[in-house]
Amino acid sequence: MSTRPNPPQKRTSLLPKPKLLTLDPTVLIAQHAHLSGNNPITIGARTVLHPHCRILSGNAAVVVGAGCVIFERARVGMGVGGMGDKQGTDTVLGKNVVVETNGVVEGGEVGDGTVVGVGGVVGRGCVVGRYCTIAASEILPPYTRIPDFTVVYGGGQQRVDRTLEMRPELVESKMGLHEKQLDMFQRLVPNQVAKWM
Amino acid sequence: MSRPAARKVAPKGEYIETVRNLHLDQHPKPQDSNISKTLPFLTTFSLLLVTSPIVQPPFLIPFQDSGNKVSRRSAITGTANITLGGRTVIMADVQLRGDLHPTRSAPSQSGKDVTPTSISIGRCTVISTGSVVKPPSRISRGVVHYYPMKIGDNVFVGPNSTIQAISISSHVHIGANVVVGPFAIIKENVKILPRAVVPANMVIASGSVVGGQPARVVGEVGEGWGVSGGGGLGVGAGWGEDKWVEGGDLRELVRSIR
Repeated sequence: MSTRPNPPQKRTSLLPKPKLLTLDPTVLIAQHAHLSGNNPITIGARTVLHPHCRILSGNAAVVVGAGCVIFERARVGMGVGGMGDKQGTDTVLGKNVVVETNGVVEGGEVGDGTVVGVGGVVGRGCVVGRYCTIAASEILPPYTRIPDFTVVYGGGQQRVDRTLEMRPELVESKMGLHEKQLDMFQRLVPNQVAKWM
Repeated sequence: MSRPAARKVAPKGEYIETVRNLHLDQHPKPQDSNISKTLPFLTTFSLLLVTSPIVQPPFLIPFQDSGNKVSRRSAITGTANITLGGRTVIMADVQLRGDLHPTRSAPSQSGKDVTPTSISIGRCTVISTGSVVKPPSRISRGVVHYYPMKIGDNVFVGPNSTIQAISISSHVHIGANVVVGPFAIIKENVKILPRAVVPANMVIASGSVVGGQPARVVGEVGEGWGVSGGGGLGVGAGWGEDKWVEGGDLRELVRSIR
């Protein structure tokens, strides 16, 4: 239904529209991406929000760094009444973080270059290091700490990706590929950022 | 998930059924009219389209055949790059990412530009609620390239699954909450158990049963896979629940969804 002509001013949700939304001008927000909540949301340069992803700041602030990719149906931040607690935890995504389809990051910090796989869940208050991989359908319980370069896979097993850790040029090339991916999204996904400005 | 609160309830059924005639009205091509005559979905539909304002015209999707049932509540992007084979059901909240299409110009015989296909789905395939189907991408010759994905006939995709396979053959049954990683190849008569995570680039041989995280081959489907217990050959208009089996002919199931 993406090609349907835009109906006049249709609210996509009853949740309050974010009042404190700070967008970099180079952000790509697809149609049907969903940002809501009363706390500040900050989104860095070149970040891509796919259709039907949700950025919720009902409980606490959300900061999405530069070059992140939030895929469809992913959820970042905590909405109102999400976990039933009064004060939430701020959500901070570093640079070049990828949250795949159906991934959830609810509060906590995720370091640069980390990938949260399809259906992966980073629980409330987790601190995930840089260049980690949370494999598909992996669930990190709340307040887990994951060191840099860790791969979480196969039902909670962890190991450190030594190759990536020892060779900074590999990290560099990985981020180069990520940049190319961002460029491709700029080409393919229509940008509706004007709606949120 | 977060649907527009103000959206009106659809006046008729949930599914938009497509009819070849509509497609022909746009681009008159007098062919294959016998196909559309044989299909039972002809009567109600053209009226339904005129009356509903929220629906995009289905001829935007280059349907090859008629009788596809696409939910009004599905989220399809890049409709021009999606091919549905006919009698295929796309349920509510399904995401088809047709906008992530191959950008490299495909070599075509006639030399003129053709719209690249990103997702092609065969006949009698059912994509259940909340599933996401998106083409896989990788770096090729220094640029990110999306690859067209193919899903065969009589494939059942369970609810809330994420499919990024490059190819799924016919008579495949995929359970609920399954993740199929990028560039996986699934051959005929495969059963994927619920909650399985098929890793990227995995090739599943025909006749396997796979499950687990990551998915491994845990068995074989054995003889009789897809053979329905009785009366499955399209007799009568039952509810279809007992008329179809996993990996079998899904025509009865498709017919029962309305």
